[in-house]
Amino acid sequence: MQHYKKSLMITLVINRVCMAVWIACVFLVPQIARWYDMYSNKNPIFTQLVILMYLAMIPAAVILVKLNTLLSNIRKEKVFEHDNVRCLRIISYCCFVIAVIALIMIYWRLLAFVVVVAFGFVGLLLRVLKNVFEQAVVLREENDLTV
Amino acid sequence: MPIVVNLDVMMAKRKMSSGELAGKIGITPANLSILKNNKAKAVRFSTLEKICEVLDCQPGDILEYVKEE
Repeated sequence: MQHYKKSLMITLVINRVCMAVWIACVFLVPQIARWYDMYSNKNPIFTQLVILMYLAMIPAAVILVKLNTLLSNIRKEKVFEHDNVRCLRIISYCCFVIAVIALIMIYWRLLAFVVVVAFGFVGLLLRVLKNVFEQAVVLREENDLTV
Repeated sequence: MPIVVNLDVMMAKRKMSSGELAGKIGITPANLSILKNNKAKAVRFSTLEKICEVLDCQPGDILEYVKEE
């Protein structure tokens, strides 16, 4: 098996594992929030935490599905396509949405700014990647139409 | 595009089919049809050279500039 196919398989497996974690989180969110309140010695924020975590899970689901589309496109050797550019754009927007949700969380816990910075940065990186892909699509089309 | 490819005219003059021409130039029939249908964005000099050699003509016989209105 070529190296890139193996590498792609590993990425696919990681994506599937993340999907499984997402499904587990649907049931575990209240539990996680309860644990958090148990070990933090500040005022309890159970309700806010549960609501925000469930809110953040919506863009997370979109990201996972879009990543799956992206990976299956790459598997079909369709890399520099408009479809993939759209996937990357949606994923980057979802990262920004999660950053905004974490921004609300700062009101109760200052440490949430770490999540804001992390997701904002990832969103920015993906946006740049999307711009690169957009240019690559133009180049590929030109190359395909050169006889 | 203001550049028009008149490949089919020259092919008719030389009585050559698309498949035969593609084979002699050494490009795929799919690529030749892109060229014939004016969908191509660029032509390599090596391809042009081969076409002229096979059809025994000049680049001007195949390519034409038409002013855009």
